[in-house]
Amino acid sequence: MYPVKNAEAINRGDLPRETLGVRAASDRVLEVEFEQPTPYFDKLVAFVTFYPINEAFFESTGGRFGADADMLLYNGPYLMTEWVHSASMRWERNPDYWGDHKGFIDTINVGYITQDVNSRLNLFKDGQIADTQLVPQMLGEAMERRWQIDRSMDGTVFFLQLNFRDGHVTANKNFRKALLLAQDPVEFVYKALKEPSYMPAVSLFPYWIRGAEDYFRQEHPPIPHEYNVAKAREHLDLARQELGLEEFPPIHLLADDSPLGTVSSEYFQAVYARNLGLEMRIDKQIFKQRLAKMDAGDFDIVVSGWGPDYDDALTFGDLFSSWNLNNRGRYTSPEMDALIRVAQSELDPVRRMEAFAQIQDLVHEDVVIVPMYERGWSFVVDPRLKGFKRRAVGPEVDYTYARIDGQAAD
Amino acid sequence: MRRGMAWYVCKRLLQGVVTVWFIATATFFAMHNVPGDPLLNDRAMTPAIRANLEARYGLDQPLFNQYLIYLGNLAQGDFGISFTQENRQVNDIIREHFPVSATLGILAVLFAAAGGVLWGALTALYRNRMPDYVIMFLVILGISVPSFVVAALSQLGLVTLNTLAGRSLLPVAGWGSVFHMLTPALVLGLSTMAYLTRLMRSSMLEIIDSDFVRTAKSKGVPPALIFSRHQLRNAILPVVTVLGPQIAVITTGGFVVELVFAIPGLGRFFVEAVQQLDYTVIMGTTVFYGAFLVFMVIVVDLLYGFIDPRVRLQ
Repeated sequence: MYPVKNAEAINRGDLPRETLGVRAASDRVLEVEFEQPTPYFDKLVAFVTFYPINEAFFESTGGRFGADADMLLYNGPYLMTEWVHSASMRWERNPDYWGDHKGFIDTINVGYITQDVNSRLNLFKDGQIADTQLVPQMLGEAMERRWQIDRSMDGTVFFLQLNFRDGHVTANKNFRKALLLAQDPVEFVYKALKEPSYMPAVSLFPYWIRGAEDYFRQEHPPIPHEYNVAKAREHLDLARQELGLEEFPPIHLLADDSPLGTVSSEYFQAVYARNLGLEMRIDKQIFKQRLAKMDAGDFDIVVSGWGPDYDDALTFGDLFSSWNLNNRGRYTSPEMDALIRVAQSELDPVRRMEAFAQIQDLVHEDVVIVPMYERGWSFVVDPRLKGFKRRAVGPEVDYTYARIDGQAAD
Repeated sequence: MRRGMAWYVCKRLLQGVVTVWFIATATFFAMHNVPGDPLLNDRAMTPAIRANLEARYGLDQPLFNQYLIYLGNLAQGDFGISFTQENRQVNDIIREHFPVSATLGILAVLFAAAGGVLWGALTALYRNRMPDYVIMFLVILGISVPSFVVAALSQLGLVTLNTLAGRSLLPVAGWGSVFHMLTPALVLGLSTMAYLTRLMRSSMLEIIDSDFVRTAKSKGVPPALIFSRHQLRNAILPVVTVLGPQIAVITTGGFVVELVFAIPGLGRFFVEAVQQLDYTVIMGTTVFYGAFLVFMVIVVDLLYGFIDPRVRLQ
């Protein structure tokens, strides 16, 4: 919210609420005043934090806002008319939603709620649901049955985040370069994870981020990844000399206790042992404890990721500023901070994207992260269901223009 | 006799309250010692936001104060608000989802008890003959195959059945009608059924050789009557003993079955809360289930007196 004038001061309690730079100029015009130029503000308002909320309604729920179907107020294309927690939902077309919705789906039954992907696949086979996720083990059967397979990236980039705090070997640049050069995200994704829906990552910025006119990475291609063990070892020797070490201490590799966290940490443990002779001590924790340790800086390397909040390069671009609390490796660089300030408020889109390009290169040059993969999912979809979209930002699936095409029925 | 009974019930209930208090206390302190921070999320927060959240959930108080406040609220039947499900009262979660687990659990126990007693008695009567071998083999299978395997296999079976039939004979998953309940209840009750079969078999074998059965036989009592009046009634006692705790175990242990069959039971919340460190839901479900278990044990002890008049309640 801090791009809005006085928002930060009001939140600190230094200014009264009335001084906020937001005003209803008329029934249909909202005026927003900024602290500084904010060229991406239109993207920001599509982020949940910025959604409007009717104060009178909120107060009327008596602290139960969002707890049940009748405790919600919104303006989307569908109304949630029924919500049995952990069982089912029913969405009906919102008659007040703008535009013409003739021919599109009127009612969506979310008939079953379960995290069990196998159960959901069984429901699909039984004809009860129209769309479900396929995990890698299911793809063989899906192809044999000639199902329509959909693929979509969920927007998240996963990487090894390195600790820059004093006393960690990862604070040494040559050590980090060795880590980057000694591994291969392509091998990781396709051989270790065996997950064809994922994309090996090369940059902090995922492929779908928009640039000035085209995709950002079309306009500013990232420096290609180099898998070079010999060169990695040279950097490791330099690091050894610079740090005055005979042998490197065991490296503290922090990860989630999820299946993916396990495979990831074990892969890097094996790769760095094989290519660099480093000993990685895997520290597997439940999600909340992994976060607590990240916040405390209790790691050398942590398996983590970042998903977009809003549809602008800045949602990734400002991650490694010195003031960002999510910069849990405490990377600090005056150059990075200066570039991020430009990216925040430069009004010329071309010059703004150039700043992002420099951020992209700097992250690579300083090895702030070791990129792993961009996450994606595979789905099987009933061929009659058309017109819906999956998005990386905002609601995962958009049914606004979903329709049923009877002709394509199998 | 009547007064003695009332006094006994009072005493047991009082003991039950102390047990539940002990469960609540142990869980409370164990939970707060689990590493991890329930408020953390992948988006970092400023100290000001953190302070607001801590105040909302009462985490800004010293631990012992939190404990006293919790006990105070518990005494009034207030379990608090969930940490992860927006603005949802833990009381609402239990009220909405426990009946589902209970319905499923009772059905499963009925399956288990009926099957267990029947198969158990049968194996004892046909001791060391074919029916005994076949049933006991299935029993071993029922005990040793974990429920997630049985659940997944039976669901796959349903899909195949429906595909072959060309229409939906039995629902693959979901909740609503009696038909939705059959398969999951059977799966849920299977291991208990197997366990009860073994129990019933051994207690039946003891009874078959006992004096009063021989007496009845020599008096010329018809075999059917001997079976129902003398054998079954006496042999069933150990089964009833474990039935009470088993009802609680089944009702609480349905996590896997609830997940596979997309059933909105309380078991799912119980397990997910632990993974998410949702303090209030962990406490609420544990205390509630603890109280339920204690209550079932008391009920069974009372039932004893009715089934076997020799048992004196004191």
